[in-house]
Amino acid sequence: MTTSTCKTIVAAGAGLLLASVSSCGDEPGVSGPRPQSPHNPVAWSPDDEAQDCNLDALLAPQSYGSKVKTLLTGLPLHDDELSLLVEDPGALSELIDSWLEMPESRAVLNRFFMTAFQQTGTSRESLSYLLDHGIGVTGNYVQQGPRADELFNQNFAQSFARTVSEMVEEGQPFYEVLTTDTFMMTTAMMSFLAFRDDEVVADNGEHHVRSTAGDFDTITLVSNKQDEPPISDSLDPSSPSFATFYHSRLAGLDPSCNVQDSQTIDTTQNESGKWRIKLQGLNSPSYFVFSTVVLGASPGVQRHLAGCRTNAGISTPRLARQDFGDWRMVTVRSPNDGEEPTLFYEITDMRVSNELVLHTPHIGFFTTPGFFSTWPNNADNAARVTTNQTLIVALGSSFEGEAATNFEPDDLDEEHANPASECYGCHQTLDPMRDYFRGSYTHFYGQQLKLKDADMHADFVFGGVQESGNGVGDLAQTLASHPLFPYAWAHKLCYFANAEPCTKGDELDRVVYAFTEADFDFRVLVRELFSSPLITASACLAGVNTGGTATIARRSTFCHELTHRLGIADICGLHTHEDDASTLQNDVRNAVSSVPDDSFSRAEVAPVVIGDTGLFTRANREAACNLIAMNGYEAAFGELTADDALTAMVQQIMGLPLTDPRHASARAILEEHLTEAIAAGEEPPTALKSAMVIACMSPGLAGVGF
Amino acid sequence: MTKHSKKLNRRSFMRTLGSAAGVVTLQSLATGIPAKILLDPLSASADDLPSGKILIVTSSRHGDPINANVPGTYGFSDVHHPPGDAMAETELSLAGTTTTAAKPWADLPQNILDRTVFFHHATYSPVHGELARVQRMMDETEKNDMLISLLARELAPKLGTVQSDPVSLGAVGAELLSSGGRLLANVTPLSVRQALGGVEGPLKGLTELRDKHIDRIYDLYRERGTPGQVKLLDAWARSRDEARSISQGLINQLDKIESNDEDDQLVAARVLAAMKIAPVITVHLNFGRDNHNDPGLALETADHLSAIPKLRDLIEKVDENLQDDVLVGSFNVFGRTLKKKGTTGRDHNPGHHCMLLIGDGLKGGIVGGIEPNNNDYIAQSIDSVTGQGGAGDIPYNESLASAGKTLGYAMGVSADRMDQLLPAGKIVRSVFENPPT
Repeated sequence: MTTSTCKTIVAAGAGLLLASVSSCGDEPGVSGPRPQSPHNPVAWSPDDEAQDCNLDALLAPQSYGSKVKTLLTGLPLHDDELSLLVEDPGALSELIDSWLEMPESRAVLNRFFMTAFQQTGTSRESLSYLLDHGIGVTGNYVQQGPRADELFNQNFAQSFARTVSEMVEEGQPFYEVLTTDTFMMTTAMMSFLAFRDDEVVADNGEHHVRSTAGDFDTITLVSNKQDEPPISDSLDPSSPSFATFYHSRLAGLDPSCNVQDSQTIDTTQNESGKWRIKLQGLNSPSYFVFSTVVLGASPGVQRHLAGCRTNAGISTPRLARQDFGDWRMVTVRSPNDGEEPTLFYEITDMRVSNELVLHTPHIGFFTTPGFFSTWPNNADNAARVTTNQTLIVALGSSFEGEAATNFEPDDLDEEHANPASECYGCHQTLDPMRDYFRGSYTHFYGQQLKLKDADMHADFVFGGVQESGNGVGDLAQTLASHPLFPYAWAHKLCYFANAEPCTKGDELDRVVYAFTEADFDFRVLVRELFSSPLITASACLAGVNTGGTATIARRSTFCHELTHRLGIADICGLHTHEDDASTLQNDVRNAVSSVPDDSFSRAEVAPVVIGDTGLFTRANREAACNLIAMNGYEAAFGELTADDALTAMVQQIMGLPLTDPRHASARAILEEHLTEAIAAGEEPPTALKSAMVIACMSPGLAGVGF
Repeated sequence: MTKHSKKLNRRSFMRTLGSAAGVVTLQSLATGIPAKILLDPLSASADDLPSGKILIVTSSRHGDPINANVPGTYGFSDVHHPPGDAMAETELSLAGTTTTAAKPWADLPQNILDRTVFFHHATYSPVHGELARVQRMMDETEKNDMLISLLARELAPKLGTVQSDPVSLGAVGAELLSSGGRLLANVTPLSVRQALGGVEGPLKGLTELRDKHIDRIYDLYRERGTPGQVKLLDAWARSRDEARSISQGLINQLDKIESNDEDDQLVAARVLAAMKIAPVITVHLNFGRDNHNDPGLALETADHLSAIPKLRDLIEKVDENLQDDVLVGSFNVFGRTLKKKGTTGRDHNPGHHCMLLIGDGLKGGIVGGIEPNNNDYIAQSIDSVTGQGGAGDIPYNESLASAGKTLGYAMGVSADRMDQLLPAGKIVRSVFENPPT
């Protein structure tokens, strides 16, 4: 099949000089559920008064160039880049390609993917839910440092975003975000997933240890930290120190408890007068070891004597801190016949492995601990929320409550089965679709071991596609070939750039078509979209201006800009634990906490993207700028003369290169401020810092699309 | 006229409006706040500010079971309430009418109960994510805006508030507010304190000079600005002026805020109301949350025991400050089932929710009621004169709009104007000491 594309746009060049650009050509055909090639695009004609193209709304190169570079890297536009755009607006595509190669861009995409894939709803409660063990205080590596549960949740929130960034960098088709079995993981995450695969939590909450049952029939606890064996011995079944750990609470027990330097627990027994794990029915020996090694929290132990019982012993996790930071791509696969899965305590092997052998399926963004933490499940909900949120992420679409006329499910709950009820429209198609999840997972996202449910037949009836299958693997394949998928991701990027969805029409079709034709190379989608008038607002499309809404720089963009323009790492402390952070980071983090950032909401298709300012948003940004100027000026500009500092503020902070028509005036205003502040009696350093606040509050930093 | 000449004319016009007076005119047009008040909000006299009430409302996407323990839900053998003394059915009087409710409600002082209205209605949605739609009265409002945003814009001039958009202090996700199609950022109590208090230090003394030069920067961008850019530049300038207009004495009251929890949301709400920052302020109090699985309705009990005293404290503090222009209420995405799961938990109930309203000028009582439907209970029709449930002139499918309309009238919007903002439904007259004629 051969299809044809033509486009005619009216572009705004330097100084809003108008130039007509036209191109036509043949494109190779496509097959399958991909969007059709755009055809007969309707171009705006300046002579056509019936059309409503507002030339005032078109952005000049300095504005759209700055918008695109800021969004993708946080960095200011440079003179040579602006000159290139003025000379040839078409050069934007190449510039975008070069910007996407920059490390700053990867950080931007990581943040975008964390939210877009809804991986960030992690908390201590969600960790407790995934393990079905109440997680209290966990261990940390340095006093006041981040605790193991916080490090885990940071890992979970970042893991899939890092995965996608890696896939994008390698040019893998973007639909593999749905089908991949390879994820960026740390050793700590590998151990966590291996434990969840080992201790399966059934629908009814029963725990079943399958791989390490019997491995810890004997656990030895030492009461002195110095007697603790190296982790390599504690977790080596061939070592005499296997399963020997320090319990920080033992030494504090009453002498009548007769605590020895070393005491042995026979976990197969529950004998009066002998040491045992507290709540032994709930805390399996495997969980005791996992919690001790990985969380730094040994469950309490007790004897059958009054008072001889401990609370959880909190100490440094036996994993190394680096085990939470050694990111690498890890493939999850099922065990072969007769093969043992990876055991959670095989830490030494995991550290050098790129493979995790698990029974539990892990496929795509919707089976990650980040997604599961964000959307916990329960018996009443029975994976309905998980299913709907999966559709929202993958397809940018949700159940709307309109019943499908050509589909009659056979196993709806009684209360939802009446076609006349207000529930039927959703449940008619939602309930058969959630059975993909029910076939793979329990209500706790453990592997579904109940054969009747594991074999469950699921139906996918949505957005014009009807398929059936079993388990999340089949769901992934159906979603990956769904025609809504490429459009969904174009719209997510439009929300990121414009705080609104893409304007539908031939130009969007062209962008999506280019994306699919490039075998779903996400970089192509970014390049085509961010060089399109849909984002640049540099031309009218079909008589309508689009993409020209100026928005506030939301928190992540604002902080990313500041970090890279001032050269102060993570200046807002968004990626630094408060106990590891500097005073500046902690102060700025608090100040920007009400500057809105991108997020998402249950059952809402549109991401939560706030483009407007308000009393508090502006005031909080002003507070942040004051703090940054007072405490960050020296680090950023301390070695410059006042003259050079002002120029740097205009170029670096305000993002106005020398050739930007606004540069000279902006610099003059800052210079005037400096002069007047000094004349008012302020010392020059204070006056310069005040000028820095002005630069920080300027539209070039506080806004997007200027 | 060519497109190009139209552009030049528009920009000339914008330059004209670039003066201080022009900006204020634009602000006044944009917000509905009289220009006089914008220029000097603290000097506005009573004559400039007709009566109206600020609403502090707790709102939750969880669909908390407030509806399950309020007056009007007792006396049914198959409606389940939490067991135990703490939530026991207890007699109380609402402006002279004796009824029963869970003990924490009955424990409210009589002077609060006498101006507390429990309005039974439906929201028609069982979906958490549809709180915004329910706030739009299920798409029945003018321009399909959130009712509280319409009311805020309507009342800002009367109240002389600093801004005409509502403020949310505890909203996340689907609880975020929108106004005029714009999504509004949530503001945490700590951020309120920092935003209004500013940053102490050597740069504070240069604030006025900075404002002058930032305006120059804004003007620089305005010169060649697109409409989208100019709109945001105006919003920045306006929001800066709003912040500068607030008195330091009230700002000092924010020093009590130490966290973003429920207590500090209520402190912030009260102070923002005293500052007349916004006509509507939302907070988030838990009344049992999304309690599908809640054995013995323990969570429901604990949350009620925590939240109702907080409401009481808020009202008493408002009373101490003689703020008779403040209404307190609650409004969630839906209520919960009353029957089907016994005391093991509650599912979503699109057919029944209870709006709470407390404030001067209100006559305490119950509006509407519940009746069996399928496997549970839904709201009854309502008599718009007496407020009684069953066989009323407000059918079930107009009960939400009637709740909204009654809320609007309670805040000080005329009945005629409410008919424009929300055509469906009727004001329930029994709610008011001085009902509409």
